[in-house]
Amino acid sequence: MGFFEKIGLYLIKLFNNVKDFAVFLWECCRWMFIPPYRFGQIADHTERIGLQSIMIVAISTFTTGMILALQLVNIMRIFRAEIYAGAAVAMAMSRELAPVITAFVLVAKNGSSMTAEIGSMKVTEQIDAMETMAVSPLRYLVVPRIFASIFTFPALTAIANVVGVYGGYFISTKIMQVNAEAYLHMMYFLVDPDDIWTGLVKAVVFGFLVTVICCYHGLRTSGGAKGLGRRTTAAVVQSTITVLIADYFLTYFFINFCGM
Amino acid sequence: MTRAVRIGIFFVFCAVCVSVYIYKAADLFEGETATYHALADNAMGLLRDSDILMSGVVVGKLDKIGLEKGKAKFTLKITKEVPLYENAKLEKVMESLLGTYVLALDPGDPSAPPLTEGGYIRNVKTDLGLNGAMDKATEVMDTANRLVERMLLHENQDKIAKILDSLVATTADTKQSTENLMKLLTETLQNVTELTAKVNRRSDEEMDKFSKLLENALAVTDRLAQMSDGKDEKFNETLAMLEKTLKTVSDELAASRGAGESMKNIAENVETITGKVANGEGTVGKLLTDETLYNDITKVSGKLTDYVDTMLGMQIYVDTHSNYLVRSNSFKTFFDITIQPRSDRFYLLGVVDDPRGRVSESEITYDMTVTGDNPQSFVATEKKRVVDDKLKFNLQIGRVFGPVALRGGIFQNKAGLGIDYNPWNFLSVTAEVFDFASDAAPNLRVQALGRPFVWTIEPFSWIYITAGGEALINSYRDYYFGIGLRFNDNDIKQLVTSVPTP
Repeated sequence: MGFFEKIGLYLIKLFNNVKDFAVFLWECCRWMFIPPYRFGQIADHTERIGLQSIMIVAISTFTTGMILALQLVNIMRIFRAEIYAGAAVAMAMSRELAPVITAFVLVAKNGSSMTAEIGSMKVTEQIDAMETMAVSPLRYLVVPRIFASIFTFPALTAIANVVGVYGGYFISTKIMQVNAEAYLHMMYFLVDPDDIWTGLVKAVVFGFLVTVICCYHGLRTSGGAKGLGRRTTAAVVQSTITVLIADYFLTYFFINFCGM
Repeated sequence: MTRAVRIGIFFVFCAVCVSVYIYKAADLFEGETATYHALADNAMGLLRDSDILMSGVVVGKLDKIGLEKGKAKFTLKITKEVPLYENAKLEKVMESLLGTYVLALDPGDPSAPPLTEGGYIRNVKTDLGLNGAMDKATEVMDTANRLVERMLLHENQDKIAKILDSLVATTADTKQSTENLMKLLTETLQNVTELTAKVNRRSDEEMDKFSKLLENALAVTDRLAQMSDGKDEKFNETLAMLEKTLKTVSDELAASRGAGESMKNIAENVETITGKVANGEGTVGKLLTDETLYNDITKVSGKLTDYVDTMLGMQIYVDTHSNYLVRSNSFKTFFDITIQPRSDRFYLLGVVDDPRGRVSESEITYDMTVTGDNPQSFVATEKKRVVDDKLKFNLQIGRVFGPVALRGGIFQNKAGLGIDYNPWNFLSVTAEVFDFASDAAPNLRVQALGRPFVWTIEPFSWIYITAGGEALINSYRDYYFGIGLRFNDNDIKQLVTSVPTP
């Protein structure tokens, strides 16, 4: 096979994959607006994605807040401006770190699980059986997960925000001896509700994208256990990168079009 | 604990966390506030929600910073507990060396009229701050540099050398002169001492000499006076001017005597007129003393003020939106006009294009007889479902209580009630229930309305999206999502003025 043939085949494969994903995305969006909704399934996934991830999300963001505060207080102390560390921690957490870290944690914990679960169903031909019985796998398997993620990602991001800010507050005031009153005053003065809202909106988008990507890879699994492993890895890698790229575009949108 | 309870607690906990955080971050100023404006040269260092301090106490917040006529326009929210007057002052002062600023407010004093809500604080001082000080220092340094550069030029160096030589010579001369003067002074003092000693001795000879000296001095002064008599022009001119001035003063005094007489007459007339007015004589007197007339005028002016307030405060909102009904796969379009004469009440008029129309069901009974060998008669009933009037009307009256608005009136041709909850300007939730006379359950309509671009510029800020369900508790249940536009009369004014005219 010649060099140009290889490039050509690669491009054709890439184009087919993009087209396949676009069709899958459209189908997901369409099914989201067609009742009935499987509330039992949604509740089940909400519990798994949301409730069972509180601790891991809280620990991740609490330590992130502590590390951020430790670094910032030390740097700002040079300028006698350590009371501003709280605002810096809170703004960074609410705008970027809370939604992104929450998304990463949930990709690692639940995204991989979604791909593996749906992928193993595909490998064992359970999906084919569903289709044979005229049950749409999208409606039964994907849409409840999307709804659960759309609800739980922002909810966990809200917890991550508060816990991360408390991590920063704890280190700054209890360990680094920054004046607590001034720290909180500057934090609440400089942090706007818009900062928090943008983070929550990002979390909704991340939840949707992560779930769609992970479910897509699950439903396209082939080649037995080896194929399942490959798809799970691809799902986690692509979800993580997509979260970062989407974060950039959302931030650009909020800053340039919404003035936030 | 069941799964539903666990999930419920989880979401409530998250909602509480984020609500408290947002509330704290919102820097809300508690209590009733009034809005004022101010134009400043420089808004640098000020942020939205910057504090407004009076004697170091926070009395308000800087709500918005914009541009007007090339100047920074501040929109201020100040507590109503602090009345502002036309002579109020606002000053931008540095809060810390890190470049954050606050606004210091002097509310003025009652010698000036009160500042109306929405009015402009005229006296605004924007402190230059650290940047200004740096600019000044740079300016001084530039001047010093230019001075040094000019001094270092060759021709200027020669001049400076000459000046320095002159200075050395002058100081040497001054030193010599001072020494001579000191010598002279010492000699004079010695002479005076001798003279006083001689006077004390009262020698006749010396006293005669002293008397003669005095006589000569008198003669010289007398002669000087004679010399100046009629010969010194300036002296004469001065005398002439003095004479003229005295004459003018004399004339003015005479004239002022006449003016005094006139003033006296005027005062007498004024006294007569005011006396008549005080006694209620004449039109003006009646106007001032007649209580009925005064009460009528007060009543009329009060009503006029209410009317003007209503007219000026009236807002008209135009709203049009279209919802896609998922189950019936059709679009339902609304066009509403909301007239809000006061902030606490509104009237809504609207037209709804409902693809499902008005559904009425009727039962028709047929008495049927079968003739023949075996005649039979029986009753047949037919249920008829008629869909008509796709166009429906809304006519509602509403009252506003903070973030909650209650509505009542005609909802899509049926009597009903509605409630709107607007916790934030980008989100509102609405519930309506109407058509109580229907055979089925009443039509319950629940809608969430989001304005995702409310923070952006017009016309994007007019756009909103909707999602909800209607007829939720009867068999015609449907879900929808849609998009719409809502703008007020100010926006209409802007639209009208921006439309090109032929």
